[in-house]
Amino acid sequence: MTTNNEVDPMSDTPSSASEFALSASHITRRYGAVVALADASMQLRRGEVMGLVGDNGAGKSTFLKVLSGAVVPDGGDIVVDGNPVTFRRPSDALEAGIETVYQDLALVDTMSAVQNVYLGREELSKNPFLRLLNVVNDGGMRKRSREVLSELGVGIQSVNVSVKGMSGGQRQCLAIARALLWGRQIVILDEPTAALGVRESAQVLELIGRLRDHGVSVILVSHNMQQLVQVADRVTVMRLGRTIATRDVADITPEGIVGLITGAIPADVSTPEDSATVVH
Amino acid sequence: MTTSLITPADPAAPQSPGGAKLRRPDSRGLPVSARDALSITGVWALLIIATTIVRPDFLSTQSLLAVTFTMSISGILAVSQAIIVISGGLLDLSLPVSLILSAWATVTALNNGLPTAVAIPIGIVTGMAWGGLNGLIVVFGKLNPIIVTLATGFGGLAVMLIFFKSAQIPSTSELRLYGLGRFLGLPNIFWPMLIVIVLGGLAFAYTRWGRRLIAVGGNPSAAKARGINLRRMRFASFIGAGAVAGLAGVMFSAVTPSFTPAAGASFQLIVIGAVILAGISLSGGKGNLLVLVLSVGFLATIPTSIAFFGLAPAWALVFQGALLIIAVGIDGYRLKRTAR
Amino acid sequence: MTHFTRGRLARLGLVAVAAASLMLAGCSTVGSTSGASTDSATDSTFTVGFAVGGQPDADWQDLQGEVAKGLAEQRGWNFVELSNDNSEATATKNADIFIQKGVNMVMMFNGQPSANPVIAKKYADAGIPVVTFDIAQPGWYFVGVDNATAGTDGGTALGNLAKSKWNCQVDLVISAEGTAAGQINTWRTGNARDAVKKVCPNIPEANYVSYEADGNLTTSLANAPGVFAAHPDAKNILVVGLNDQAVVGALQAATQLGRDGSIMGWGQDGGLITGANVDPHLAGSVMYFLEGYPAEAFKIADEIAAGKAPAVKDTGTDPAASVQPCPVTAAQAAAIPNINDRVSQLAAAPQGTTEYDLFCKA
Repeated sequence: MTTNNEVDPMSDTPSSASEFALSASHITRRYGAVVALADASMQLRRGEVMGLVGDNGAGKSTFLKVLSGAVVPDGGDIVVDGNPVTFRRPSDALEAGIETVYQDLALVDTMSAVQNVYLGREELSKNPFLRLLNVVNDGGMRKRSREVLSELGVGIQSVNVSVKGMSGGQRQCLAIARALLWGRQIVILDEPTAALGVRESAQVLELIGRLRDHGVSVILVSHNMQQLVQVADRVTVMRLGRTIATRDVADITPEGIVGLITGAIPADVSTPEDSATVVH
Repeated sequence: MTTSLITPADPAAPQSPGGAKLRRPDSRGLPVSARDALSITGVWALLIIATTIVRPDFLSTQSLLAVTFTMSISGILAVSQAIIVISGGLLDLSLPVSLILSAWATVTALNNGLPTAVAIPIGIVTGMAWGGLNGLIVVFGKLNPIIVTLATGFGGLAVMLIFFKSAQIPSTSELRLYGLGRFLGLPNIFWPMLIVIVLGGLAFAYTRWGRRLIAVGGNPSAAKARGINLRRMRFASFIGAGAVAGLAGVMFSAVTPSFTPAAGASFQLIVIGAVILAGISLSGGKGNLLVLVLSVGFLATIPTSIAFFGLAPAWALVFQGALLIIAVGIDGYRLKRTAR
Repeated sequence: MTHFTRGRLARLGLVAVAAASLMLAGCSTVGSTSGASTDSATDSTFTVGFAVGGQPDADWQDLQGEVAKGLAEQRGWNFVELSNDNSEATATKNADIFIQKGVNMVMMFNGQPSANPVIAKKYADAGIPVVTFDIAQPGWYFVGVDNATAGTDGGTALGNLAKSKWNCQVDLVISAEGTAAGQINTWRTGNARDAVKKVCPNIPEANYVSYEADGNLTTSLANAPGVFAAHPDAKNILVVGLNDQAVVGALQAATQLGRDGSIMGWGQDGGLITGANVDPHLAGSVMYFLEGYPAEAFKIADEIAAGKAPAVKDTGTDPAASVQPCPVTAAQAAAIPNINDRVSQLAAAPQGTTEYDLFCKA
C-alpha cells in the first residue's frame, strides 16, 4: 500500500478490506422498465468527505437510498468496514453505522433538540425500576448532547427548546451532529446547504470538516461545486445511473466536475449512453 | 403535516428564516403547552366566575361532585382519543362503540357469575381487541383512520344491536357498588380517570415509548429514518388507546345501570371537543394530557353552569356544538400561526 | 413490481374483509320475515298485509307481527307479513308486493317515514286502506299510544305519591326532557308536570325545573348532576321525563351527589320498570304495550272487512284509535307478564280485547 491517493477509485478489489469505511460495487436498481441505477460503485475511505454529483435523474438519490437502506437494490454488493451487508430497511443501515441526513425530514418539529438527537435511541434511566417502566434518562441525554454540540461548535440556545423555532442552519447542524453522537462511522448528507443562507451554509460546511476530523466518513450530495471543492476530498460523478468517474478534488476544478456531469469530458468507464440502451 | 421545514431563502439574506420566527409563539418564554393550559384555565375561571356572580352558591361541594362525576368517563375516553391523535392516527370515530363494547363485555361477565377481578380485565381486553381491529385495518390496509373508524363504528354498532338491546349491570355487584361510592369526597370513578391522565401524561413525556409515539405522529418520515417501526408504533397506539377505552367502558358500566348499544354516542362530541380544545393538534405529534384534563373539566362544567343559570334544556346542545366549532377554529388558528 | 403488487393485494384483502364484516352486520338485520304466506289472495277471503318495522333494537316490532298474525287467524283471514328492515327502499318495495298480492288493507310501522309519501301514493292509487302505527301520514288511519294521557297518568300517579308520602311538600320537580322528540316530549313531560301541579297545587312555580336528557340514560346522567347542584337545598324531589331512561339518569345522578334520600321518579314507556335491577327510586312508569297495537288496528280492520270503512283520522291529536297507556307502580309492573307471555295471552283472548283490558284493568 502506498498512499491513499493512488488507489484506483474504480477498483473492484480493494487491496485491503478494512481500508474502506464503505464499499459499494455494481449496484443496480430498476423500477419496472425504468433503470434508475445501471451500475453504481463507490469506495469510501475512513475520514474522508466524498462528494457525489450528477445531473437531475442521474441516479444520485436512488444510490443514496440504497446506501441508507430506504431502497433495496436489485443487484450489487455493499461492504461496510470489511463486512458484506444487506440493507432491507433504514434501520439495517443505521445499525451498520450509516447515518443519512435528509434535508427536510430529519427532525420532529414538536420535539426538543435533545429529544430529536436521541430519537430512536433514547437512553433508558439508570434506575432499574424506572428502566423497567421504560423511563428515559433525560438528564444524561441532555448532558451528553450539550457536550457534543459544543464540541462541534453547534450553537443553539438550549437543548430543551423545540426545534421548530430554530433556524435552518441550526436544524441542519443538529441533524448532522446527531450522527456523531450516535457514533456513526459514515454520514450521508443530501443537499445539506440547499435552503441555507451564506453564513449558515458556512456553519454546516465547517461542521462537515469537524466530522472528518473525528474520523467520520461523509458522502455529500451537492449542486454547489464551489462548496464541494472547498470541503470534499474526492468527488464521484454520476451520469445516467452510473458512477462514471471519481477524482481527487485537488486534481480537478469546479469546471472540470461540471464537464464530467454534462458529458463534455469523457467518462472513465465505457457508458452506453450514446448507443441509447437506457430506457427512459 | 405543515409546510416544508426549511423555508427556501434568498442566499443573500441568511437571516430570513429566523426573522419571522422571532415573532412565533414558541420562541417567547413559555412553552406552548403552558400557554394552552393558562388559556383554558382562564376560560374555565371565567365560566366559574360568571356563574358565581349569577348564583353565589355555585361554589359548593355539590357542584364539585357534579363536575368531577361528569368529567370522569369523558376524561378517560379523551385520553384514549389523545393517544390516537398524538400518534398521528387523526381521530378514532369508533370510540363510542369501543366504550359500549367493553362495558357490555364487563356486564356480561358479571351477569355470568364471573368475579369482578375477572370482569374488569375482560372489559379492558375487549377495548384492546377493538383497538387492534381498527389498527389492523388502518395500519396494514394503509387506509384513512377517520374513514375506517367511521365504518367500524357503524359496523360495531350494528353487530351490538344484533346481540343485545340493553345491558344491565347486576345491582348488587362489587363494580356497581364501586360506581356508586366516593373516595376523598369525590366520586370513585373520578380517581381512575385522574390516574390514567397522570400516568398517560408521564408516559408521553418521560418514556421511550411516548417519545417515539410523538415522533411518529409529528414527523413519520423522520421517525422512520431513525429506525422506528411506524407500523408497529401505530398499531401499538391503537391497542393502547383501546385499553384505555376499555377501562372507560368498565367505569361506564359501573355508573350506568342500563345501557343500549348506542349509549356511547353522546360522548363523541365532548371527547373530540376536549382533545382539540387542549391543543392536541389533529396533525399529530403534539399534546399535553395535563392540559387535556383542564379541557375536559371545563367542558364538564358547562352543563352544571347551564343548570345554575336556569337556561332551557336545549341550550346544552347549542353550547356543545358551538364549543366544538370554536375549538376547531382555535386549532386552525394555532396551525396558521405556527405554520411559518 | 412484485412487492408493489403484493402490498396492494394485501390492502385489497383487508378492505374486502372489512367490507364483508360490515355487510354481514348489515345482512343479519335484513331478511324479511314472512309469516303465513298465503298467496291465495285471489279467493274472497279478507287479506291483511302487515309490515313490521324491522328496527334492530326493538323486539316489540316483530311481536306486533306475531300479534297481528294471531288476530288474523282468529278471524279466519289471510295474513301476509313483510319486514320494512328499517329501510326506505324495503318499505317502498313492500308496498309493491302487497299491492301485487291484492291485500285488502295494510298495517305497518315504518321507522323511516321519509318514504311514506311515495308509499301513500301507491296505496291510494291501488285503493288500499292503510293503518300506520305511531308515525302519522295524511290519508292513513293513525294508531298510536295516547301520549298526552300517558303524561297525565304518570304525573297524577307521582303527584298522588307525593301527596300521601310528603303531604305535597315537594322542593323540586325535575323534567328530564328530550327536546328532539317535539310534541311527544311536551305531552309526556309537560302533561306530567301539569298533573303533579293539579294534585299538589301548593308547589311553587320556581320548584319546577327542566334539563336536556335527550331521552337516554347516558346524556341524562351527564346533565342531571348540575341540576341537583343548582338546587342544593331541595330535599323532597320528584322526577318526570320523556322515558324511563331519562328519569333513571336523573335518579342515578341524585345517588352520585348524595341527594337520593328523598326522591321519586315516574318514567314513561316502561323500559326500565321490569327486571332484576329496577332503580329503587323509580316509583313507577307508564307502559304502552307497543306490541299490542294490532289489537286496535284490527278493530278498524273489522269495520273495513264488514264494508263499513270508518272515516280516516290521520293525526296524533285526532287518531283513528288510541292505545290506552297503563300507569304502573314498580310492584304492579313486576306482576305484569313479560312481553312474550303477553303476546300469547292476547292471542288467546276473545276478539276485540286489548292488552290494556288484559293487564291494566286488573
